[in-house]
Amino acid sequence: MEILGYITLSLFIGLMLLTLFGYIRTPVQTVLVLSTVLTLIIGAVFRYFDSGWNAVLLMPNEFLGGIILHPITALLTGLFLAGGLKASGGFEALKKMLNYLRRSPIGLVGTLVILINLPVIASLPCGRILAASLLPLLFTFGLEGGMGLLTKSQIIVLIGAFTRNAMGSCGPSPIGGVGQIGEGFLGSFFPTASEGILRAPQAFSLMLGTAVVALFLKFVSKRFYPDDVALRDVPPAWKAEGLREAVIEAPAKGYLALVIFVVSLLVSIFQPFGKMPVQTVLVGGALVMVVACRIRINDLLDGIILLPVTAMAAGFLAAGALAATGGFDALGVILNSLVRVPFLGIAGMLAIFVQFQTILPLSCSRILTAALVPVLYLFGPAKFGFLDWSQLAVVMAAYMINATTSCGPSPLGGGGMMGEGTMRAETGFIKGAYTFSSMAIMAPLAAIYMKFLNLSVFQPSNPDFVRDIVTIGEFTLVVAVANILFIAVMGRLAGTNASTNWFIQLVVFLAGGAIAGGILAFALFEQNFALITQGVAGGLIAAALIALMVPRTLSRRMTATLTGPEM
Amino acid sequence: MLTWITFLFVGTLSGVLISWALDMSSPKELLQGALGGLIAGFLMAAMLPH
Repeated sequence: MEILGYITLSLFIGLMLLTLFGYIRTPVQTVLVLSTVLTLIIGAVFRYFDSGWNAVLLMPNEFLGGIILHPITALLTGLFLAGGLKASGGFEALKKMLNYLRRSPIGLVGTLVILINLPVIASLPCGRILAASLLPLLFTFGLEGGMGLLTKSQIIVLIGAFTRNAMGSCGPSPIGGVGQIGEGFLGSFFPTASEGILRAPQAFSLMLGTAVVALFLKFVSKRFYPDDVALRDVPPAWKAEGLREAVIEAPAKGYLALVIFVVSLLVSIFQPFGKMPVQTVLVGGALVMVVACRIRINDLLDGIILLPVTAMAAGFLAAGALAATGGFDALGVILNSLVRVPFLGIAGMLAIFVQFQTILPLSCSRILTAALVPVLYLFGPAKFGFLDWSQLAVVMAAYMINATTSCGPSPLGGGGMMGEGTMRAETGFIKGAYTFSSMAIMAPLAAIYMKFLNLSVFQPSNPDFVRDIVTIGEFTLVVAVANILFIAVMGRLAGTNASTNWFIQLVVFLAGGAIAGGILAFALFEQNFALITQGVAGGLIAAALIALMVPRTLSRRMTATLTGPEM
Repeated sequence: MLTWITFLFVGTLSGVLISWALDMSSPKELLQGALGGLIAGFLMAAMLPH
């Protein structure tokens, strides 16, 4: 039966690569459903000959069990609430409030910095909830949105950075976040792990990673894909006479809707009335909005965008079929076997393992996280003994932030597509920025944070906090400065030849990946030169695989292929 | 306490970098970005388990 897993895994990866590289020209949802059907047929045939009809009849249950409804329903309720906010004039009320805030001492830029980091502060179980609610608002800062406060370049950076932050905020979420999968496993040794042992490392690295994404979009993405964002810039005449501000009128019920929206979010986050699903709270908020703001159910439904929902559902179907036929087990075996490669060893294998979900980004990080975290756990004292518990916590932190941010660059219905749609960019525009920050910034910084601070919080021994905090600061600055230099050099060398640009990007990714792999190995094994070298080798391989998936050029045809028809 | 310090630090750094990326790089704007980042870092630290 093991061979079945390898066959279905190859089929899935093959179909995805053919779609990503444009050899299959149908919407990705169709390809994912095709992959599901083929996987199930092959699985049924294998099971029939191996174990008879009973095994075949069990398949539907195993297949459906692999489908994770949580992010789909979370997205729908977020869109539902956003629809209510829009219909009642809530966005206009928010615009007026932002206008007041930007006249405060923190100004427009301080307000935007808080807005960009709002998703990780709120830490909802799916970044799509806030993204669906707030992306329309961010769009209004530009010319097309009516306010004309920001230029095209600024809107690209604002939307791209916000979406990056949102599509990583599900990791540190304490209410059904992805990171809780890892915390559950670490609870075998750390008694208080479930209180959030992985939250701080993820949030810390995500905040800096978001800023690096903003710089990447400014210096690199705009130069690599100069004609692939359809937003218009503020006309020169406007600039000459100073930016014109549209007069915004907000009805009273808009403010009321905004209050209901904020209260719903706060109740979701802090759960003051006991544990309840975030979806329940948001639907409750929407219903209160219907009554208090006198809007219709149809207004709420108008907020729902079907594209990301269908893409995610199709992704889960394919993943469920893979899980039922042993595809993920095969993946775990392949990754485990890398330990035996001489120049990789355990450090190199882990450097690849922590980057795996960025190498193969799916529509929701939960799909692969649920499959691969148990494999990672087995590398610890529970089975293989490659790592002790502290090392397992360090590598889990790096893996988790890399995993949770992987839905951002996924062209298979990933959350980043919401940002690309809002900034009117072709699919793939943000991929380089998102993957680079996950690989080169977030994974190594999460590992360092876990090693030098969080472990001491959750497993008090005899820590030297001051020394450790200085170490975190030094690593943060070194990682940030090195990668910002890489980005600046890449932006400076960028020309009009797409192939040359792509090659420059590959070299920079390799440099960033090598540093990330080396830092991860250092965080795990400290000053062991041989293991750090193996970590660098693993980082290079992971970086090469990630960079190879970043598109050289973007096109409307590819966007249409990946996003499907308008629904 | 140290968690607060690390998040205030990373928030400030992040705020300055985002301001720069947004083409708002006068000293006043960088300071405002840092202040926004400081607030974001403070709020984030407040949400974490201690």
